[in-house]
Amino acid sequence: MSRILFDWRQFFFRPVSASGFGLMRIAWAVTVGTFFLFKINDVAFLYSQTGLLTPEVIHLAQYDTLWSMPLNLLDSPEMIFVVYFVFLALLCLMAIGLWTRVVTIASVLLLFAFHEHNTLILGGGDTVLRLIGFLLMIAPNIQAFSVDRLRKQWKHWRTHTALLPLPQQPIWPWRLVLWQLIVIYSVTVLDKLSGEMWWVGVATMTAVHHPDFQRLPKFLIDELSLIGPVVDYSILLYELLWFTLLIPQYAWSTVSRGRLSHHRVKRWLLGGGIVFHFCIWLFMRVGSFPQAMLAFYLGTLLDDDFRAFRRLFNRRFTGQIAVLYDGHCGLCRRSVFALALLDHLHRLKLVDFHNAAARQTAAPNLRFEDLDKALHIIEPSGEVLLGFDAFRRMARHLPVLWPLVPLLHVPGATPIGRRVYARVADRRRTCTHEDCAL
Amino acid sequence: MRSVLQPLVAVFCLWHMFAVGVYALSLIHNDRVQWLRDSAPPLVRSYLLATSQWQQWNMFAPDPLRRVYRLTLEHQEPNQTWSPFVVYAPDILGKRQTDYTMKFVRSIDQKSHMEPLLDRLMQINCANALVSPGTRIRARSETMVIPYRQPRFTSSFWKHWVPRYEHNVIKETTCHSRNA
Repeated sequence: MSRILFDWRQFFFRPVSASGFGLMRIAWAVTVGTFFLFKINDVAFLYSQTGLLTPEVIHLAQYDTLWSMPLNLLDSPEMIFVVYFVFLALLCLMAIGLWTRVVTIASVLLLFAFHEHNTLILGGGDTVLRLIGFLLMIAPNIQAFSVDRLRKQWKHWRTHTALLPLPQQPIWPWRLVLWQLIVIYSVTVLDKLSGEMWWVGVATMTAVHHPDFQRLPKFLIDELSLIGPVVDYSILLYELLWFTLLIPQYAWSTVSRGRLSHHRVKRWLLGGGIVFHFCIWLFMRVGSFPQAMLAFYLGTLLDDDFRAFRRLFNRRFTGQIAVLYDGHCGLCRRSVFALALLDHLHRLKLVDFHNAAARQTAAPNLRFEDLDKALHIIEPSGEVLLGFDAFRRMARHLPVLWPLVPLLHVPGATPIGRRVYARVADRRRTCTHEDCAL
Repeated sequence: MRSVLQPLVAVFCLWHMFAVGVYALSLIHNDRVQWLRDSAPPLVRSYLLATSQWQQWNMFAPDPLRRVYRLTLEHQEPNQTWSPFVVYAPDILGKRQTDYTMKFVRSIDQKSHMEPLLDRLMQINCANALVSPGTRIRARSETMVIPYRQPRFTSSFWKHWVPRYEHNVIKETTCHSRNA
């Protein structure tokens, strides 16, 4: 009995990383906001009583649910616009993670209200967004990658010079996300197998030739007809493979003798899904469906997945980069705090050079006087860089800053960067934790 | 507190997974799930509607949509000819607008109970297009069905395929007012 209770608790309440849900929150807010912004010219037409949905015809666009009522109470297009812009503002706050819980609940409920107010314009992507929204509302921890968490991180850093432990939550929201994805793919494939065109291998070519969905020029799509059946059967196989996620972990380990795990199979399916939905986006106009599904995928990421991504990116990187900074300088501590937050690949080792023992271990050949002039880094190869050059090199190791790396190498960037760094370094003593009078 | 909450959360999860699975499965186009449609508890539907978790994954299943529908709204000129003032077709609408607009246009297709919506669409558009009140207006549909059985592993069929649209006047009325 105690074994059963233990297994049950593990199944629903084992603590797991909540970072995936934080990413899903951001992706959801950006997707919903983008697609609602596309409708800005049609808001009054689609949602107000002076548009398509007069009181006489509104029943044709709504199911009899609680959520169809709120916007029905607004009788002027101006009020609809106010709610619409409030919704967009809430989505911005949700994306950056300010007052995360309250704003998320409000955003999701407003999404329900808009969707249920006019169901005639809804597609598969809108359904997926509602499903994700509900799970975000009830998940215990959606604060990862949020301003709310950033504030807590900074407070903790000031006292401990260390980041908070990784955000966690019980596993049950993750199980609901995974179950929903399994339902989507498995029900779709069972329905497709009930028809005929997928069996014959002409379904995809029919779909991409439909003018409502066609994105690319016809002559390009016509050439792709050669591989139409291959695409059809590949899609069916991919969707059928989602059933394998119902196989428990111990069965995977037994059958594959430890070579395969549930998480590894999931990652392969997610990788296949990224390709699948990217191709859907590339070849077809299907609204927000590809983006919504990719947002859903983020909610399936757990500790094992983040470790696997790190291993993948660190395949050719060994050791750590020692970052020697002035722990007595407020600006330096802020900068290093930012580096610690962005160090998703865990390649940096932060060393306060005022700590003699740590300095001696990390940089025995560097003098205190030299370290005091600028931030230094020591690559695993032994190469030493300082100032702007050090920051530019570190940017290569911080995934969030990768888009900036080409800009930091354009002709002229080096002298400008060094001059700016020198000016900042000269005035760094005026910075405390609370402000920076640069 | 935890000893009370945890079983409740676990039960909720199991219920939610059951409801989502049963509801989605009951809507697939297969007679083998008729028993599911007949026996699924009404509580499942009520719960999913209340939480806005209703779902049906049938856009390209069991077969993709083959019917193509375009709608043109026209007004009668003084010389009795008809001139379009709004065309609902993907190649006319903007890319973004097509996604959601063609959905509600398709919802009007072949559904007699949606006629009030078509009437509203005609009135609001004739007001926006500044058609004079009292002018005769009509809705003309163009429909086409993409072939069902196409040759496979060849592009020549599609290269030579010419869509043939059928035109039908589905409604005629009068533009009522500038302030629709």
